[in-house]
Amino acid sequence: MPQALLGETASLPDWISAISQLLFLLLFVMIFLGFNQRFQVYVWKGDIKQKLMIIERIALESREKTREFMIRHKGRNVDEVLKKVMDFFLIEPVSIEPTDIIKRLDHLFSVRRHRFKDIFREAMPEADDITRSKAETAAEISGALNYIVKVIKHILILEEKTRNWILVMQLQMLMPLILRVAESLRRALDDFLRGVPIGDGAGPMVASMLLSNGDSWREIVEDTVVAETTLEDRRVFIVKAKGPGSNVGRPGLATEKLVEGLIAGGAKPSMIITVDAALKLESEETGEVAEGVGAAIGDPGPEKIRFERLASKHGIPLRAVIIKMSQEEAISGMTKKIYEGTRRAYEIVKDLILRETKPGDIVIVAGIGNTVGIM
Amino acid sequence: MAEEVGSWLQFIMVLVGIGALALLTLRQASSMKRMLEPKPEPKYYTVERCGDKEFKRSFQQGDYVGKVTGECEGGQPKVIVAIYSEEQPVPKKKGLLPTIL
Repeated sequence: MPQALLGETASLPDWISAISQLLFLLLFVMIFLGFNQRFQVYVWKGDIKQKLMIIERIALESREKTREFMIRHKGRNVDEVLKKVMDFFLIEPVSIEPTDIIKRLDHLFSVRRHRFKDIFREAMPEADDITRSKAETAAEISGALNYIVKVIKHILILEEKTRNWILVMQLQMLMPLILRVAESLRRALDDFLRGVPIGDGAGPMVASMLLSNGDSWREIVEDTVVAETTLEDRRVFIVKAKGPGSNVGRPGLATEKLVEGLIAGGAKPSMIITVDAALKLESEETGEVAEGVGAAIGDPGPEKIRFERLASKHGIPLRAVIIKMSQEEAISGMTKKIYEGTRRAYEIVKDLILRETKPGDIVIVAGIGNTVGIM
Repeated sequence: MAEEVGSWLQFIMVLVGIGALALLTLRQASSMKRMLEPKPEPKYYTVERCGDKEFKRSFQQGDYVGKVTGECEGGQPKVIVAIYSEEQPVPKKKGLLPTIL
């Protein structure tokens, strides 16, 4: 047959030429039919599925580690508790009517916090508060990883149903970033269970540096402690979350109670300083320290607004010191660079107090962040 | 003669195309293999302070900043003042394909 088409004298080059031309023609027709796009989507989906496999493995491992941790500490109905916590949700308050939104948000967070505490108190009755707080954070991390897996699968299935390849294209481009988040969550889980301070603990770390030997913490509001020390004749009150468990406390509420109490006693603070970890830009170095004005606190609102309202109500200068780091570094174990940053931040806070206040003045320093691994 | 050269050229182009596709598949497999490899765990250190002196040791389970771990020579408490990680040097591995791809 080929001989008939190409003639009796068809040589190997003729064959190659014919097949190549046929292939190019086929390719050309397929491009017109949109095959290239379909092929591209197929390649993207393959890439997403491979990365999803890795994230699923991380999520499964995290759940298993949390489960083992709870069982090791004599947890009851562990699987049931984990399922409950991982599927737990919080519906944000109505924002179209902003009146009282902070109060409503604060209330919802409070209900959520107490519900979580109750769940873990019931599930791990023999464990101490520190161990329970670690299990709680580990379950939240496992829940976050589980949610990532669910969302990726949702987009893949939705694309299959609707043939909306834009969804797959966007997801494929975001996958390296999502994978990075999943990997940092995996590391964070290990570090929380280990009980080492995390990058976000830079604020509480600076707070603990200000404490002298002999000064002690007392609980001022739920999960938040305060200590009093002196610095060259200034009375310095230090506020932070109660450690060394995984806890962010209520620094805004604690500072409010402390300041109102001091003012009622006739002693108005001269300055409030908030110290916190802050996200760096990619061009910035980890551990860089900067000084500014305002409330350095990354909560969704209720705690931050207390600092702002308190400072403006009583006319107290509100200063901020931040230690820069990436999102991954903020939730993973504290690195040497961040620790060196906290040393610099401590010097800056000291300098700020000595430079801008007089002997006899009162200063409040709030170390904001998760205090895991820091007393 | 010119026709024969053209045909071979087409053949080579097809071969190059197939080769590039195979290389890209290999590269993808290689990057997946790298992603699946367990990352080296950072090593954690605990810093204890006795007066002005600081001592660094490996982190032990139960350590936390502010914990009194013992007594110093002068009778002062030995306190943990820092816990941090240091990155372990990662030995460079040769991948399936050079990174220029």
